[in-house]
Amino acid sequence: MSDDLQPTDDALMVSLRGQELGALAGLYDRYGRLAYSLAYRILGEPEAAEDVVHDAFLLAWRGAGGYKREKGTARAWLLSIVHHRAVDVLRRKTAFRPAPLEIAERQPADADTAEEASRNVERQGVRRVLETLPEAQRRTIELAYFGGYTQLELASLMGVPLGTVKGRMRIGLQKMRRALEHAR
Amino acid sequence: MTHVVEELELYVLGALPPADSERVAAHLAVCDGCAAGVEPLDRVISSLHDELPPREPPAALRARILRSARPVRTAAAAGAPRRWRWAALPAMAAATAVLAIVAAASLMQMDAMRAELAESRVIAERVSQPGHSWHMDGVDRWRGAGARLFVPQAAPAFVVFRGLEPAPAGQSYTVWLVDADGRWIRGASFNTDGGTTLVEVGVPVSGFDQCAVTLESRTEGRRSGPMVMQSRIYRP
Repeated sequence: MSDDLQPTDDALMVSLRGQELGALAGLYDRYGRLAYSLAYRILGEPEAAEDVVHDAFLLAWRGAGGYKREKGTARAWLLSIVHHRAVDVLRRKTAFRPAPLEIAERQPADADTAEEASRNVERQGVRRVLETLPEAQRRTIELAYFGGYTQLELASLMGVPLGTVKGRMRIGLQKMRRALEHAR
Repeated sequence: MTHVVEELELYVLGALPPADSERVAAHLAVCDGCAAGVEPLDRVISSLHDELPPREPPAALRARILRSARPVRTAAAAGAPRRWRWAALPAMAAATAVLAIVAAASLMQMDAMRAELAESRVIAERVSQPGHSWHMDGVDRWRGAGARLFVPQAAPAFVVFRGLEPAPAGQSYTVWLVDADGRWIRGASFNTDGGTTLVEVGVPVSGFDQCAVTLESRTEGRRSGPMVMQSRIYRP
């Protein structure tokens, strides 16, 4: 089937709200891999990542009525559920939390297809944007988003005042936003 | 209304403590001005997703998710079909009855939607009050369900449940508070229709550092049923 015959994300969300299992399957086929990659990046454990993706898709299934298109895309909404769920799980662990970048760099890519090559190019683009940031800003953003650290934990971890953490996040995200707009 | 523009970066990165994150989310749901600031930040976050090293999920995960999903029944949808019987009526009367049923069912659904909306607003308003909270995750067969116990500074504590299936016949859920010595104090017993449900805890929460929910056959006495969900130990 060609791409233009596939239902749009908006159409899938309407069907999901109507409790159509086909819509849930469609969303999983489209974003399941990305959701699992995000959960794995945060948790670093395949079983925990699988549970998080399972729970996140069920939450999406049960909470589809709360989705508002004007507040963001279905992809962003779904991945925010995955992110919240994964960070919740991570924070409940009392043991040492591995730095997510180190985990990510250890793991080889799973596939080497044309689609994968295309995503690699996108990843390299984003990586380049990230690399333009000063090390402290990049680390702060990545530790917050992928490491699940709160602002207070980051201030303590990095040995800087809370205001510095907030400033790094704000300026770093602004720079990334400008760079991404420029790259279009 | 206190706006949250200054906290948006922390919010989208997930760097706010859970209670603050809930407060910001509740505010964004009702304030278009602040919500407008989230969209450009979401695009940046989305670019972080593009940067993720790809991982292939287990092949069985798709089927597991679809098996776990089941249609959510609303009060209107569950109740309406039992109220009228029209199969034995003559054709004209049947058509009239069908129209009446459609109209009545629509009105019932609208009433249910209005009630649901009003309830959602109450919940959004209540969770935006300053205070702290405990998060609970379902265990065993309740995995996927979740709840947050809110302790507002100037109001009684309450719990908001999501995705918790209705209790089996003759049983109900019970909220428990656990102190540092491991004593379990019984709070409210309740049931749910599977949707978002707000439950008043019913007992003071000061001095406790953990909360839990069990499935019980009795609404008094000691805990005897299986664990449904529990929080981590946390002293505010």
